[in-house]
Amino acid sequence: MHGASVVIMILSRLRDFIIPIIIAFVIGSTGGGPGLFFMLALPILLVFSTIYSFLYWLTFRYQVKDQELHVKQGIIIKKERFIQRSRVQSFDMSAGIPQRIFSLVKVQIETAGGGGEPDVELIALRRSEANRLKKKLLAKPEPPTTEEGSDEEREHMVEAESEEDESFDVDEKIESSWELGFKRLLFAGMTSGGVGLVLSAVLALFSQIDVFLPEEFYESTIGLILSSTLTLLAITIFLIAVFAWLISIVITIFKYGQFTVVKRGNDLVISRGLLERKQLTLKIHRITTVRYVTGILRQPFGFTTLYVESKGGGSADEQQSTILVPLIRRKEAREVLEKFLPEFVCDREEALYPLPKRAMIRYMIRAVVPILIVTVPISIFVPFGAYGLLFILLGLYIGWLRYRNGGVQVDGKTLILQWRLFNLNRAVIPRKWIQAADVFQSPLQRWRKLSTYSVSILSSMSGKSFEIRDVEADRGEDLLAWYSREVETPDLHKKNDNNEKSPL
Amino acid sequence: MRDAPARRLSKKALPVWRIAGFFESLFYLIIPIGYGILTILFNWPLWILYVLILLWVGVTLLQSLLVPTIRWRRWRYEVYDEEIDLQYGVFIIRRTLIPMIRVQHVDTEQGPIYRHYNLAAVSISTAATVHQIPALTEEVASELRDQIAVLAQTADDDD
Repeated sequence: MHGASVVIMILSRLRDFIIPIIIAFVIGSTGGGPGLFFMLALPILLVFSTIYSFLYWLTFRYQVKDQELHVKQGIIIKKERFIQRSRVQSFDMSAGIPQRIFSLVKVQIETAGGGGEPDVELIALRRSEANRLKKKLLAKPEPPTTEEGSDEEREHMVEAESEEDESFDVDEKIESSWELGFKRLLFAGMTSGGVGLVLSAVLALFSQIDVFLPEEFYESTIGLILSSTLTLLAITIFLIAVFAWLISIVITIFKYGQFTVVKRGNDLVISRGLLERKQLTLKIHRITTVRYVTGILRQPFGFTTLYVESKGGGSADEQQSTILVPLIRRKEAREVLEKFLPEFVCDREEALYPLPKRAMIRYMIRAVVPILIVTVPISIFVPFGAYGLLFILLGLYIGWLRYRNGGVQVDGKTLILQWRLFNLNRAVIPRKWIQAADVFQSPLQRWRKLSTYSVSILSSMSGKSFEIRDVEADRGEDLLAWYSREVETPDLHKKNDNNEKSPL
Repeated sequence: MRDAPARRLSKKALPVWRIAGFFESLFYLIIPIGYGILTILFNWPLWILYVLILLWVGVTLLQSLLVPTIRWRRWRYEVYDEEIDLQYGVFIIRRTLIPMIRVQHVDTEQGPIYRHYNLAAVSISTAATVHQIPALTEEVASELRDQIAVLAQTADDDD
């Protein structure tokens, strides 16, 4: 590896520690006297991470030989790892701030199986070296070595199509691409809904800030706050909220800046990030589900986000799903899918079967109960707590929305489920990716002739299931029969009369 | 509506589940015992202790008598050429379909209590999920395992 990796490791190690340090500082500062702790801990940390990083760099070796990637590492416990070229599932290049300083890239290589951590991580490589490695590992195998490649594939029984294309197509031309423009990016930030998270962080900071202010200032401010009117207080809160909002916009811009999706042969290459550039390669025939997620703030503007679930790939901060398109108009989404994933385009998408009327009350009760548990005691024991009961109305409304937005449809061999928690979700799942299907009924559901339908798919390394609650019991049966290979598929559209509508 | 699958679990499941249910309820005994100790230490009202004991007796009876019976009556399974059909659940009835082409492997498992009764459980794993058919007699379990393994191998993808 490049020698600069020592520096990069130290930097990224420190970055990992920065947040705990800040938290410790914020919490500790109220107790007083953390100074000594930091004076000692920081240099020790620095020295240790320097030694560790240097040794790590010294002992880390890799090479590609005979269709295999060979990695040697380990300071005390030596570890050697051989990875078959044909087993490599994803090859991601990214460049964090420390890497950018030296204009290097980080390479992460993953194979099937295994947990969250990448199988091989090369912290610092020259870009040209990384590209050469990529070519070596992912280029189509030369004629004499093909039989090995196809042999490996046999166990992926599920992937009936394009088996032979397991190797990456590095030299393939770009077929189509999509970019998130700056306007969209800005809008995505404005409606990201990350405000809540940032707001709580900002508030935590504000609550600690008094420690740093001189006492006189503190006293006079308290006096000011106490004597100030309610409007002033409201303005302050408003300003804090705006501040948090701006921060969340900036975060989004850094995270999704210069977002591009490129289709190259069998790969989708997603690149994003302004400071820290991330690149993710997804195999098209490994994508199991496309999900439209429409945030509450985005819905009025007709914007939605497209996620894909894929076997392999997916980063932790997106709950194992990968963002395909961060922000797009609902109408344009279809075009984009036609370009990138034609398999997931459905005609019946806008005509979902709604949930039966009698499900409404169940949805509303479910939404209100948690609110009742919190607000009722508060309204009894806290003065003015009764205002909290207003949240019950909000809960009822959310429950009603969830009922209204729930829907299900089948289009040939594809299942479409729509549900809402807070964001509106719509999943498009081809039958061949469904691993198992369930229908279940609680005693109350049995009484009301309703049931819950659920399907499991493979997402990243683990399973994921999508369910829709309180569908008509008959519909649940039909959906199960649709999935069955033993039973004749019922005519799911026989009752297509006036019942059909878009639950939006 | 499709009929419920036909095959049932072994009758010997009942004593096993009763024993398991009873041992599980021994675990809940912690609650009345814990409260009893606190009552002695802090002079807490005694009647709550009685209520807790009564509750515990109720739960124990439910767990070791009623629940196993319902569960056994509910549990049905059937293995077809193309899929496995399961129906189970005590209060919430669940119907699960697992297509043969999705089956990745089948195992039989046997704990000490199962071994004593010559029982075994069959676990069916897909890429995303694991399903278990509990309490089959050993012969049925190994037969089922082999049958599923063969069917899973020969199933073709029609999608």
